[in-house]
Amino acid sequence: MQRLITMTLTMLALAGSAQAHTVTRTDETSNKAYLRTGVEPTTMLTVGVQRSFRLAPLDRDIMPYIEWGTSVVRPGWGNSELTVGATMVAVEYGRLKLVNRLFVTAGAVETINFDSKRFAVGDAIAAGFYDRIWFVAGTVEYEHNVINRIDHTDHYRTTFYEDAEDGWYRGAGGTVQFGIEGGVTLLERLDLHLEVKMPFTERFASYNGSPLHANFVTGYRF
Amino acid sequence: MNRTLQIVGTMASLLTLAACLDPDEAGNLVPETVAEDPLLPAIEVNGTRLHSEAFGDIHNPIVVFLHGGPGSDYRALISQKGQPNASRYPDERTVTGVGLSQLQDEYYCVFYDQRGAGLSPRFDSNDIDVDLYVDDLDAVIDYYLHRKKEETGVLDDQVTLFAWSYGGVLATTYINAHPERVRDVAFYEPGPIDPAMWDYLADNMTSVFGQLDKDWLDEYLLSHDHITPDTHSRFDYQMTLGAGRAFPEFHEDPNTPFWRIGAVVSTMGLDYGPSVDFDITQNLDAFEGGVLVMAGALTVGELPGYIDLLRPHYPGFQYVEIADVGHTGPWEKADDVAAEIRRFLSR
Repeated sequence: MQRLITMTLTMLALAGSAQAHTVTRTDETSNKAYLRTGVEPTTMLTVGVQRSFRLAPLDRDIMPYIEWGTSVVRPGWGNSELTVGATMVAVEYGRLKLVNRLFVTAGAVETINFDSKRFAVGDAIAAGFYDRIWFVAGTVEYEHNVINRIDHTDHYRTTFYEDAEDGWYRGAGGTVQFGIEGGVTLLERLDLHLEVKMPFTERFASYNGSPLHANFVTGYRF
Repeated sequence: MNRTLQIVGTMASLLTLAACLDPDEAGNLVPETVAEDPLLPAIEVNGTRLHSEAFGDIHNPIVVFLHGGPGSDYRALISQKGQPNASRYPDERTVTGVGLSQLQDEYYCVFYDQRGAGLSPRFDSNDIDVDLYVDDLDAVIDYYLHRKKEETGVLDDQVTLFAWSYGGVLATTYINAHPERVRDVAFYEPGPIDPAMWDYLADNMTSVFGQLDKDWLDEYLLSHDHITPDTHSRFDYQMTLGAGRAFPEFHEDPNTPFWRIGAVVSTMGLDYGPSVDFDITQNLDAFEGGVLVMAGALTVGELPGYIDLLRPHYPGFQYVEIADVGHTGPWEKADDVAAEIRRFLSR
């Protein structure tokens, strides 16, 4: 059982961004609660918590986290995302670090035409300069939808396609994002963090949504 | 035992995924086109199949209806508010002769979905351009004029065009190239046909970035976490979320029916785009037919200077405002629009 837990956590960790900075000061604080606002993929408000601990077999700190985000325009479970993951410093040379984050997401969206629930996996890498109270990094993030449950509305059947199939769909796409991020820690415990990302589809085609994603994160260490 | 469980678990997972529907397969999320579904009415022209139907007595003058978009289809032109929307299968329609197809008692009414739109086949963007759209329209006109000659012995060489929204851009491009082929043209809120019209719209319409608090945009953006537009089917499907809701100044009815939004053609600049140096009006002087311009009063209230920008290109056009409606007037107020077309064509 212990081996299974260790393997799972290792896999989660070998996959970093908004949570990345915290992982550099785990000797001072173990926990962090954060609030993220921004546009990704729409205007979202996300709350999350993370806790770091030592992963003895790897001799590294690992930082599992859980977060829930909802649309600001249409808040609620029907338009939200629940993400669970873990962040870990994979490689480091002094203050240069490669931080990896692996995550799984369950999300829902309600639209005039269909309701969708998705289950996705993703991985993000942040490579940058991590000082004690500030950091800057370049990021690459990939997320793939493994399976979607799609149910169509009466509106869609009446207005567009009466024979649309409700059911479980496989592989409804994924996104790749390239970005930059940076942050500072104020008053020893308050983290401020900004990230900007440019999204593409997983086939590196035009995303056709928001041309840029941007988030501002406020975190409190304890 | 553990290995057996692993194998069974893996196989169960693979079977579960294999049993799932494919979002890229036409027919699941969006309808098949005439390329896949032989039950859909189609014609073969200009090297492709196009979804097309004609109604009425072919002895009568031909009116060709050009839908909007680019990327929309003619469903709204043969349906009307308050009636069941037209099925894509003619045999399954419970009402006929509604929408602008009611004109079939006086005219031979030709409808087709433009290449890459509606139930006409999907094409990649590098396989479509404006010249091809003009050639397609020319071929559709040829097809039905030839059919008329075959069936009636009457040799006619002109048609009347009805053009809605982007259809107005296509009609103008066509008239500019082939002014002798068009007897008359009736527009309903035509798209911009010169840079001044583009600029007017850009200056007077709410940009997408100004609509971040709107439900439709929130739905559209959030859906990108669930479905990405890597394939035609997924792209078409996602594009439907903005239909009838993205342009508040147009006062569109979001219930206006479509079969399929051709997302590729709707985003590839077939309507020229404001930044492109184009001129589709330099030969309009050669056009000798009549011109009717209709507009919904609600749209005119929002964009009062727009229609006048047509005057340099179509001097002397007749103008009619349709009351209590916006850009989707041909579906919402089909009877009123049809009556104006009748009045205009019988002048």
